[in-house]
Amino acid sequence: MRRVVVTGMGLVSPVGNAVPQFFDNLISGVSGIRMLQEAFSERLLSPIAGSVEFDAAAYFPAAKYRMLDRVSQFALKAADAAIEDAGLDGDALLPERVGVFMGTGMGGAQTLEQGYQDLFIEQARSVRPFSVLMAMQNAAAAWIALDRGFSGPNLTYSTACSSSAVAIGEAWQRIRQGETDMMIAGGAEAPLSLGVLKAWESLRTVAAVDADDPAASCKPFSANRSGLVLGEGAAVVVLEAWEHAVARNARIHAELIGYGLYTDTGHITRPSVEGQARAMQLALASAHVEAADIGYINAHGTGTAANDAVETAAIRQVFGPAAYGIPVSSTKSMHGHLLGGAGALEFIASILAMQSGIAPPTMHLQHPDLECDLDYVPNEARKNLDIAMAMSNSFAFGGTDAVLIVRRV
Amino acid sequence: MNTLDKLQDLLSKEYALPREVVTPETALDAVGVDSLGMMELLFEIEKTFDIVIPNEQVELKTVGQLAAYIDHLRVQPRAAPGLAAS
Repeated sequence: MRRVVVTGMGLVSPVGNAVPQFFDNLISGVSGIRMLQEAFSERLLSPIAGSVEFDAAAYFPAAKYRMLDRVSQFALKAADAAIEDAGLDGDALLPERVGVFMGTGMGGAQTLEQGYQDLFIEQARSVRPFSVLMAMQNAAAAWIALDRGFSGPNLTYSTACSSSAVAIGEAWQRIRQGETDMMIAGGAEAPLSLGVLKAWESLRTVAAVDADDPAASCKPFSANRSGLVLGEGAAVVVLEAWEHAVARNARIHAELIGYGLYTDTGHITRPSVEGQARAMQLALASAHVEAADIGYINAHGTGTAANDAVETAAIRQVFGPAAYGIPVSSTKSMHGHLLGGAGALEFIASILAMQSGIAPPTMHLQHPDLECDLDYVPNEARKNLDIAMAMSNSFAFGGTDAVLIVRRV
Repeated sequence: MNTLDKLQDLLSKEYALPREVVTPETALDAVGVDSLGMMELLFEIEKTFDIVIPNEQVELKTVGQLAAYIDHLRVQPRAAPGLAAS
């Protein structure tokens, strides 16, 4: 099996669209969760979300911009940044040996919603001709490949909230097994439309607005947590065979050493301790490391009553008494839940925590919950840590639980 | 405002081009309209000019030819609604 390293990272997020700014905000406890300003927000019980500031109309040529749903706009910007970070431009690549794996939960949902509005409300005679191209789930992955001519495997994974962790893990497998030398992998989500926000609201999983500070509405692991807050954005990494990266003198951010994938078959939404624990155990086994080697965990930590208590118990089950000595944080408290983009964004956060020795905090954790008794790095970043390996958890509706482990290089 | 003026405005807006670049002689592919882009452009033209463009093969290479075609459709009785999918 070949070793696989991360040589590029790019993102578009509610707490910044550049990697250094993203991490500075995370370790400073800056929340990107805001009151929504759109006219439709008055129809929402909780008109809050992690929203992105990105002028896509200025970023893309006009003819291309019109063919991109917001989810693809985010994905392409993040991919451009990751590819630039990896220093690929100018390097001779074998296009057939470079693939693109992306994840998204709801894909071009905004295009569908607009089309339905035109058709059913406005009684339009037809919908926009690019509707199919914009709404198809594989649009982002296809455009990334088209832009660069990467003709290796091009796949899109849709496993709800673990989609982009799965995309990264599956991409890792392709390189490890020698089928490709390099993979562009990540995910994106653009769920901030009335239809999608309402769908989540109806599930009664969305947090109530914190009356004193809306930016503090997502409170993972806190006794007064009331649910998740949706976020939009994208995150993309460049994965590469170790020898390929060394041959072109690439800067190596981290080594991806483990990927655990387990399907929790108990319930369509309710997570189980056994399922989450098994995904972590499988990741450790694939990395050939012990639980004690992990120096930081970026939790799935959605801020829902169900997930946070179950994830805490699952970490205790896997790590034993050592669980109490590991910094575990949920950065969703600041960027919100990016659904299909979450796994990749938090994978990057995990790498940055490991590189810097700084664990980002779990913000807005003022009221300890008896069921949530780990070290969640509450409200303030933890510095001067020696993190040799980090774990990133992504658990999903539908039960596809994915865990990634990185090692410092 | 005549058809050509309106079409020039539409193209300059949709393709983010200075108005003076879009002349009657300008080739549509030079504006950035490829075969796929033409589908989107026809959709915009239908809305802008309140016409229905029939699903027929017409050779349209320049902005001027397209304007003339729109004028031709505007004096025709409305075609059957609906563009057949390809």
